Amino acid sequence: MPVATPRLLTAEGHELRMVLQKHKARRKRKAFLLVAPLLTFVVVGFCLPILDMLRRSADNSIVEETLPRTISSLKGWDASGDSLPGERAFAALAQDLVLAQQQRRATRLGQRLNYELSGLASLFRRSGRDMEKVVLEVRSRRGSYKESLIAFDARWGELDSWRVLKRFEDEMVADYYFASLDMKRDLQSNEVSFRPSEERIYLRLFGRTVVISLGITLATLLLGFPLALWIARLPTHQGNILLVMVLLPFWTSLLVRTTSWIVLLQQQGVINDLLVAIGIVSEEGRLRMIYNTTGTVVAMTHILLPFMVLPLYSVMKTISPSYMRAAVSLGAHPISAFWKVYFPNTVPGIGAGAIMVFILSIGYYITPELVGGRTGVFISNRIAYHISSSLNWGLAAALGIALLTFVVAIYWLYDKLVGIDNIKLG
Amino acid sequence: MSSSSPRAASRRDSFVAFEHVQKSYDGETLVVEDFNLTIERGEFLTLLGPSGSGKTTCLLMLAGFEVPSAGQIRLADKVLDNIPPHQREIGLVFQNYALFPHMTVAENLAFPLKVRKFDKSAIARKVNDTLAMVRLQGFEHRKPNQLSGGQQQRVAVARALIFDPKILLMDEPLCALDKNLRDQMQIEIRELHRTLGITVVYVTHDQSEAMTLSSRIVVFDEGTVQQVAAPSDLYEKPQNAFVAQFVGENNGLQGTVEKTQGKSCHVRLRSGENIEAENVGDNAKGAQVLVSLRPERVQLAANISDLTRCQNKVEGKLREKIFLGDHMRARFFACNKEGFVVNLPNKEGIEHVKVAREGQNMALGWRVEDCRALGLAKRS
Repeated sequence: MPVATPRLLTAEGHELRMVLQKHKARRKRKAFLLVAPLLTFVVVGFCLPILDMLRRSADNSIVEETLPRTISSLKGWDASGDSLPGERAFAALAQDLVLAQQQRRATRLGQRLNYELSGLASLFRRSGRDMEKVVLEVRSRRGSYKESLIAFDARWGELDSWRVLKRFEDEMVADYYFASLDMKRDLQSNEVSFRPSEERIYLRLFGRTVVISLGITLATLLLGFPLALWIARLPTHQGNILLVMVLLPFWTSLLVRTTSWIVLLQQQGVINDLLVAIGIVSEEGRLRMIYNTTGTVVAMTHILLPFMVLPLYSVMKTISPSYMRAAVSLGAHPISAFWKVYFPNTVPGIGAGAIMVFILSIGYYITPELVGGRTGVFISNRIAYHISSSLNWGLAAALGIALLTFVVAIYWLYDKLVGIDNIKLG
Repeated sequence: MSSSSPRAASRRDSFVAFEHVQKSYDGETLVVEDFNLTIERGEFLTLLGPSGSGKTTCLLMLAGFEVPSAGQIRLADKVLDNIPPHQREIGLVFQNYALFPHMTVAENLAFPLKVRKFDKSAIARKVNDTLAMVRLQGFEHRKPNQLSGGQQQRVAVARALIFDPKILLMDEPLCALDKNLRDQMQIEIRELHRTLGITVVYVTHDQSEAMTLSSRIVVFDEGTVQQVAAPSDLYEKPQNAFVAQFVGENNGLQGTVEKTQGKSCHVRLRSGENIEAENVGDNAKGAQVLVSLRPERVQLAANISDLTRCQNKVEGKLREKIFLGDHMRARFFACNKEGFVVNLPNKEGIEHVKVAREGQNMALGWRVEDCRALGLAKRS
C-alpha cells in the first residue's frame, strides 16, 4: 500500500521533485546539443532537398507569373469548346509576352509548356523575340491583336495552344506525376489516360528496374547464402579473415570495380578471349555480356554481395550448432534438419540482406549507367538524364518521388509480411 | 588405466558396450584412451570428470556425432559404427537445451514424431501425454524463449523422450540453472528415470549432481577412466589419488610406506608423523602414497589423551572456524599442512570446538578405516 509521504525537500529546502526534474531537463539539453550538428546536417542536406524536390514535382508557378494578364483574361473561356478566346485574351498575351521578353522569361516558359505540347518552345521563343514589333504594328494600325498574332504565327490560331495555357494556369499541377506514370491529361476533355503502350517509357523502366533488382537480390542470396554458411561455421580466426575478404571490395572504388567488369566481359574482353581460345564460342559468335541487362546484373550482383553476406553471417553466427545436432538426434536426416531447423532461423538474415540489396539496387545509378547499355539502365538513369540533360527538373522530381513512394511501400509491405523487428543486421 | 572391472564385463545383460574405444581429434593426442565400459539396461550411469577429460566426447561417440578413432560401440547388441546418428534412436539432451526457437513447445515435441511420419492424431495424443508427464500442460503454444530455464529443461527432456528412444543421453543438462532449480530438477530427473525405467547416460562435472542421480559413476581424467563405482563406494573407497581428491572434500597427506601389515600399512608422512592407513592397491614398502582422509572423519579434542578410539593422533593449530549452520568447519595447521580441514556436525559434543580460540592447539584423531593410502606412482 502506498503511504502518503510528506513532501520531500532537499537540504536547502527546495522541493526535491522539482530539483530532480530540473536536473533531468538539463541532461536532456546536453544530449540534444551533442546531436545538434548531425541533426542540422541531416535537415539541411537531406530533408530540405527532399522537400524542395517534392515542391518542384508539382510547381507550375511560372505560367501564372509570366502571363498574369493572359491567365485572368482566360477565366471565362471554355477550354473544351471549339472557339478561340476573344480579342481581350490575345491583347493580354501580347502584352505579357513583351514584358516576359524584357525579363527573359518567354523562352523558359516555352520550354516548360513544351513538355505538355511539343512545338510551344519554338512558338514562345519566336513570339517573345518579335512581339514588340507586332504590338507596335497593331497599335499603329489600330488593328486586331487576334488577327495579327495568328498572322504572325498560325499556331496562335490553334485551339491546343490556348488550351495548354488554360490547363496550366494553376500554381500547382499533378501533370509531372501523370507523365512519370506514362499518363496524359487530354487538353480538350481534361481526362487522364495512359499513353499508348508503345509510348510508355517510365512504367517500362520502373518495371525493368524492379525485375532486375529482384534478379540481383536473388543472385546475391544464392551466392551469399552458402558463403555466409561456410564462414559462420569456420573457427573465429579463419572466419574473420574471410570476412575481411568479403569487405575488401568496399575499399576499392565503385568505378574501378565496375570498369573491371567491363574489361572482363566486353566482346574483346578476357572472358570472351578465353572462351574463343578453348573453342567454346567462335570468333564471330563472341558473347555480348556487357552494355546490356546481363552486364548490369553481373556487375551489381558483385557490388551488392557484401550487403547480403554480412547480415546473413551475423544471423548464422548466433544459431547454435546444437540445433542441428538436436534435430539429427531426434531422427531427422541432416538435409531435412537443415531445412526444418537451421534454415528457418536464418530467415531474419535473409530478410535483412534481401531488403538491403533490393532497396540499394532499385536506386542504383553509376553501374547501370556504365555497363547497362540500352537494355540495362534503371529508372535512376532516366532521372539523371532529366536533371542534367533535358533539364526537366519537375519530371525528374516526380520520378524521384514515385521511386521513393515505391521503396516506402516495399518497406511497409515487408513490415506487414515479415515484421521489421525480425530484421537482424548484426 | 583401464577401467571396466571384470565383474561388469561379464554381465550378460550388457545394453551398451564400449570396447577399446579411442578418440583423437588431431591424430597426435588421445582425448579418450582405451575406453571400456558396459552399461546395463535401466541403469543411470554418470560420466564425471573435469572439463576436457573426455567424458563429453564419449557421449558424442555414443550419439554418433563423433566417430571413434579405434574400437567399437554396441547398443543392444548392434554395432553402431555404421549407423548414422539420426538412425540410432538415441535421445539427447543438450547443455543449452537446443530447443528450436522458431517452433512452439508443441511443435518442438512433435518434431521427432513428424520426421518419423506419425499420423496427426497420434502426434497430438503423444504430445499431450508427454506434456502431462513433465507437467507443462497449457504451455503448448509458448515459444521456448517465453519459458523459464526449468521449463525449457523439461521441454528438452520431454522432446528427447517422446519418440521412445532406446537410451537417453544428457550432456550437463542442469549447468545453466541456478542452485535451487538444479536441486529440484535433479529430483525430477530421478523420478522420471524411476518411472520410465529408461537407460540414462549422464555427463557432468558436478560431483554432487552425479552422487544424487546415479546408480553408477564413471570418473574420467585426461581421457582415461579412473574408477567405476556406485556413488557410496566412490566416496568411501576411492581407488586412486585423483578420485579421492576429485570426489568430495579430502585432506591429502603425502608420505612413504614404512611397513605393510595385512590390509593396512604404516606411512611416514613428510611432516614426520607416523600413521596407519588402509593400504589400497598393495603399495609396497617404500612406495610414495597419498593418504586420503575425509574432513568429517576427523575427531577433535582438547588433549591427545582424550582421543581414545583413534589409532592416529596428531596435534594441530586452529587457524579458522567457520560456522555453516548444519556443520562447523575448522581449518588447522597440522602435519605441516596449512589447509587441514575438519568438518563437525552441529550437534552435542562439539561445545569444546565452539569455544576454542583461533591459534589454540588441539588434538586431531582418526581411525585406520577412515584413511586410505593411495599409490602416487602413476599420477603425481
